[in-house]
Amino acid sequence: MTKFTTPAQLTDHVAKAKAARDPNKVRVSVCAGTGCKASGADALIAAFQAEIEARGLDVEVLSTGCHGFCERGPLVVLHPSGVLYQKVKPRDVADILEKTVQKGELLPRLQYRDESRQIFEKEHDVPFYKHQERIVFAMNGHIDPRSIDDYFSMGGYEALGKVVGQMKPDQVVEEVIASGLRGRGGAGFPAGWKWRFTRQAEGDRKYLICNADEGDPGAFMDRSVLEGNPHLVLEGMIIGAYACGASEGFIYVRNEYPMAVRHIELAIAKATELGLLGQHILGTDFSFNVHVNRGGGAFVCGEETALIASIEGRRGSPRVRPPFPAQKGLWGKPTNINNVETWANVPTIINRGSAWFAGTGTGDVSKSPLGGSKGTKIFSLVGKVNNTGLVEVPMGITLRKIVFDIGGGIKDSKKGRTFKAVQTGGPSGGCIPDAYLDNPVDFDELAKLGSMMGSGGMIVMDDRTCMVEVARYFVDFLKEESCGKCTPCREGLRAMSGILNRMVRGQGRHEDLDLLEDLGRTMKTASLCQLGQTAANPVLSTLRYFRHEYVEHVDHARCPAGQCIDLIEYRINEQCTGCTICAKKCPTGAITGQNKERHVLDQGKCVRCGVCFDVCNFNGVSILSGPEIAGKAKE
Amino acid sequence: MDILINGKKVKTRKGEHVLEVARREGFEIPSLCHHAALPPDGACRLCLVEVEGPEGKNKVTTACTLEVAQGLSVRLDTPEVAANRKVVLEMLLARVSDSPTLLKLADKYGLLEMRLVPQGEKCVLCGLCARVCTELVGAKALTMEGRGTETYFQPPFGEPAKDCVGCGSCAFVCPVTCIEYKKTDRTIEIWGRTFERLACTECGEPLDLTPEHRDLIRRRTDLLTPAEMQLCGGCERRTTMKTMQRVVEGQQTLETARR
Repeated sequence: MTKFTTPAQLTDHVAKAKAARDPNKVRVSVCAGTGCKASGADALIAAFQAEIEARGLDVEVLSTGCHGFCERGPLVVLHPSGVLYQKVKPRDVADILEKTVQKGELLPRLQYRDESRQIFEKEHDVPFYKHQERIVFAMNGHIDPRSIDDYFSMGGYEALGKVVGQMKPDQVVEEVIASGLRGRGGAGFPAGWKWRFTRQAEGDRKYLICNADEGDPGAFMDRSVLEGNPHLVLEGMIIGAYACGASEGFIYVRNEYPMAVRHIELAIAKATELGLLGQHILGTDFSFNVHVNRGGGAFVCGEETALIASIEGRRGSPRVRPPFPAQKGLWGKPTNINNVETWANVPTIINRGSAWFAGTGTGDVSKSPLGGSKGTKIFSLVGKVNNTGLVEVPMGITLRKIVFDIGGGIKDSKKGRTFKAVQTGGPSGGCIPDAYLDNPVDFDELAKLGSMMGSGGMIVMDDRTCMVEVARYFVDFLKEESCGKCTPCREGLRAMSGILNRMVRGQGRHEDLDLLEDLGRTMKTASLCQLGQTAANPVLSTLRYFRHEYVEHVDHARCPAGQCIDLIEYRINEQCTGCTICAKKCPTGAITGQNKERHVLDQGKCVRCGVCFDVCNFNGVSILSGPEIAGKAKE
Repeated sequence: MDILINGKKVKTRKGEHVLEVARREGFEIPSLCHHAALPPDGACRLCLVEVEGPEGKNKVTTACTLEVAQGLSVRLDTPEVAANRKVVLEMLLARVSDSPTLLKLADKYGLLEMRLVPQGEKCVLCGLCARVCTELVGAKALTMEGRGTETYFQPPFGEPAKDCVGCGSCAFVCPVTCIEYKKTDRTIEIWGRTFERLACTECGEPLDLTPEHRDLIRRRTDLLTPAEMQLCGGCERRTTMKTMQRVVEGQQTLETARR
């Protein structure tokens, strides 16, 4: 392929590539995202290739980006039928090809079953996928992220041809504003407004940044987008550069994401080779180069001013805004910075129009993009749900739908586990209790509940999760990751950490509750950057919705969830059938007893890991806490 | 451009910040990390003020970083400001409990009870030392190391300061005097290093100037000649007066006099 020298050539090429993609071609799509690779996707792909060759079949093996349902990986989807196989091993390959691909028979052992053992045949019927709406992830699972031809064949770079060939930069900006697209990195600021500020800012040089410094524990949507469809992000950035008048772009991505780095670098090289990047893009006066910057893994570098400092080679500390990056950003020049997912939404908005995009979501954005939340959002759904993974859902979907329909409900609900809270927005998000499960999920609603959209982390907690312990965990994380510059964030987190660590040991005081609230208020009001301003959310939101748990901890040294190991004791009760499983699983040999006789647990040897409780099928293990064991746990 | 501080109309220039304007006008705002010779940093968060917003939507922010703007109205002593300032002070005092600077502020702003565990630190992490060293002196001998609660201002890797010139600016600006700075007749000791003190070329009095500092100034500017630099205050005045006299009497031009 040679360089495209006019927008028309590109448009033409994409149209031909789209037409040439045979929808009836037999393809085996194997997820090769980081999750599935860890469960053995590479060996699986090799096995498919070898077996197809040996059998002389006309079948294409696609090594794709993340499908989202990481828990069940490695995932295989057969096209065009859409049959989904999960947890596939290389030894299953011959069977899949012979029985399913050649004869059309299904292999029940590889099919997905929900908790009630019901089988789901096709990928799009599986509840995990059925309730999703995929814009950003639309192509994942259908293309090899390393192939620009695959991207072309799905209509990739169509939007770029349209923008450079037919639209003025201002029109592009207005289109993005009209779509209502708000920043997916957390704050939800209208992307189009930022573009307009950068466009209107004075400067001989303007920069563009893609923020891929995804640091929330358990969140991996940006990684999966970059790994699974790097050209989508790149196309969004090129369109953004055209609209903002930027000449250089930077992708700031964590060094811990090696595959994302590899794929985006490959995409940049290929796009440059074809004249979609570099000097005189598509033969026009528009020039734009993109560089990859690898980050060292500091959480605070996801904050835009800290990120900019880091690219400049300085310490990643946030600075005061204003001036905003759009006025004075990288090396003092106007800079537009958006998150990976924000960029990845842009090509679709151009292709399908702002009105189409604004058709999904909440509110009315005809007057201002702040009037609602439009499009979809990817969440990384983790914690105590049956189906974990990445889910892309329309804005405005209820938490209940995400947790119970897509997530398949609470894990071990048969053993009596129930929903307690869902934590959204990463470590500085808040915990939302069941009373609000039917509230719509969008930027403004989550903020009203004392949480936030954040970058889209979603951690589901069950009744065995102690909310004081949850707050302690996140506060300790943030204490390590605060940049240390401003007093409220640094000292506030230190103080909170001290208090919460005392509380989970049963050494809390009642007046600590007011103190936590006081500290939290000031951190929110007086901190320099968003990290500090939101760092108290896990504490404030749990105090707001689960105050009684705090009270139990400080007044009675009791952990109602039975999780804080210093405050609990496991006891074997009269329901014990003497099945011996707990004695076998106990790592310290603390449980003794004869077969078919009630067992005994030696408290002196018990480390309170909870394995006995988890493995017991007869509710034969009780968790005691508070006055029931008074005097024992507190020392 | 006029702004309102506690309802009083005050004249300002574009680009000024509320803290400097307010202090010029005689209002008191506490701060630790601000210095008139340095750009604002917003690290200590003590200089909180309340900005009046539309429809009663007021916002608390730091005066040092708040640029003046048409129609800006700030209040310095609202309950919101007082409450948050008190907690910030409490946090600082927990960190450095024996600093007279902080104890005085605590007294003044009504912090009567300490609820936080004392940390026994000496430094409030205002960052002035490193900023003055980097941005004004140009030595870049100090840096912010670590992160979170394990943050320190010190020479890189905590070793004796390789790039320090012994000028003492860091110790001079430190609001809680926690930088050890020792001076004898012949030496200056700071950041694990011992520097020689140059003597006045006229009277022999030891100067607060080290050879390293003199060389750094020479590298950064030629406004001062080495001879001009190496004079004590009194001798400098005397030689300047003599030179000016000669220039006025026409015996010498200013240029030749400096050489």
